[in-house]
Amino acid sequence: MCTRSRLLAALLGVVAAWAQAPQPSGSVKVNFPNDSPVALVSIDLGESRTEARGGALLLDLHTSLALRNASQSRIRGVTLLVQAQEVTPGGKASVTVPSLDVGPGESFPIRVDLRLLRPMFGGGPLAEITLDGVLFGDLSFYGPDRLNSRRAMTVWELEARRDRRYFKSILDARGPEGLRQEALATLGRLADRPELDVQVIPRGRSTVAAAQERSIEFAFLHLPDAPLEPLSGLARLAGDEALAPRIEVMNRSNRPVRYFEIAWIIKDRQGREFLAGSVPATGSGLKLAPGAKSEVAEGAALRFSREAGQPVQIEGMTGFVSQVEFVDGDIWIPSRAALDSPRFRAVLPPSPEEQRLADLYRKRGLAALVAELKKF
Amino acid sequence: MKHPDESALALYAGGDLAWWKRFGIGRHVRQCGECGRQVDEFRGVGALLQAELEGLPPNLEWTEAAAAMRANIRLGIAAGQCVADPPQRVRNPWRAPALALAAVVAILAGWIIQTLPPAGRIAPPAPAPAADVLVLDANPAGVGVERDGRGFRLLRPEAAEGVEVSVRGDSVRSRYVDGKTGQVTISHVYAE
Repeated sequence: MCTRSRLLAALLGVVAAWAQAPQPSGSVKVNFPNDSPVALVSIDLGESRTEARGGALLLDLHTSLALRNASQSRIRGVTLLVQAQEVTPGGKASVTVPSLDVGPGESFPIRVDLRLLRPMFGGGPLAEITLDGVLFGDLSFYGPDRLNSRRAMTVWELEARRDRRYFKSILDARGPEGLRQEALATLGRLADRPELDVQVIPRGRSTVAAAQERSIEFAFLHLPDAPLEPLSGLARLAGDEALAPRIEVMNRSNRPVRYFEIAWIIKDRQGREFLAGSVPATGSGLKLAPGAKSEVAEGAALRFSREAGQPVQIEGMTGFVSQVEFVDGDIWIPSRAALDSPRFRAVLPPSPEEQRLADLYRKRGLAALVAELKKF
Repeated sequence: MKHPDESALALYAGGDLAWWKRFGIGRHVRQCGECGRQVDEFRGVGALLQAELEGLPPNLEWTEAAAAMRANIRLGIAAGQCVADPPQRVRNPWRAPALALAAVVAILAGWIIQTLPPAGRIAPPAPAPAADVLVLDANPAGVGVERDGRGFRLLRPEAAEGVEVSVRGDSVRSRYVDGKTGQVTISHVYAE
């Protein structure tokens, strides 16, 4: 090969290398602390791929992490923090797997399916996966808790215990056939759930003229044993956007409260109701004394739509207290009996654990469900 | 002997000349060692390009790419003619690499252009917020955060079942049962 041909080949090679997208394997960095109770066994990037989209690069990272419980306790939940600061400054994500039951030395998988869209040029890992927290069977917690995952995973674990107790009580009272009926009812509720799309603009920016806005008052569902009582609530509506909901509550318990959430149900023009989410108490310094009042306020603009992008025209809003954390760390959640009313059952989804148990019944049958309940 | 110009030789090497021109130039190339070698080099470059092109997507819009490539080749030849000494045929050893570079850049440009979605296909379901606003969204495909055309999304796996989407303050979440592992997974994106 003559010098010129070699130069040509080198030139083409350089250009081809320049044009190639970065390899997925270099796009994810997993970083756990040295004393982490979960150890990384392996990373599988499976069918991850990169694709050019004009001047941008699209990366689909299908990451499967194999983790091992390196602690001496059973693990009930894990939250991984996923950051891509280079891609989206100001945004972060997490993947939580609650309802685990992983003994010491046992391994378990967590999948992180991530899509990144970023400019063509840039170096270094695009996404970093770190540990935000691990919840153990005794409700102790390990981790930096930057996402308040301790509280969230504790709530899910308490719901899981509540719903396993409920399923066990059904098994005891009505036998396997009763349990089957209950599992089928849960599957029916899951199948009837409406698909809802949500868009949130955190610091509230309506695309509708202010003149078209109107205010709407919240109605409230009162749970008999709730430590807080919602007093009043208001949100602005602009087209299909809900803006800045505000809800006032009073502490009816005899213990100071440091955090609470108000679940939020929206009703459309056809009278259908959807659980939209929750409005959390903001700020870390809350200490709501017994008898005191406080207000939760959300500055975001929210837009809801159904299948095919059909906007949900909001006609009504209903709230109820969905969780309360006391200053001493105790957490209150609604009882199963309180949630058993037809209205709640029609609107609220099953808890993560109830969903898991129903899925277990659907795939592996009644015997597997009974065996699973007996493990706890 | 009057030699054909380089553009004619390049087109001859690629089989892109009309048949009557191909016949005349072919006869010259068979008799002229210098032009024959040049044609061989063009063919070598073509083979290398072909190998590179095999890595490109199958649905590449060749018409656009070819138009851009031809324009760049002609531009390169015109630039070469500006500095060439017309009476004496001086071979510039960098001309062929320059042409190859122009061709590759043109192909890449065409590839990038054709991967841009046509404006008519973009139909946002709702009024788009300002470009510099952070937007979180949750839908059956997953939960995502986007700002100024950049962003990331936690995708719902194909095997996901029973997807639930909700808002919690300045964040959105999606919950599902992973059909492969049987685990409930909750994906969450937050605005800082």
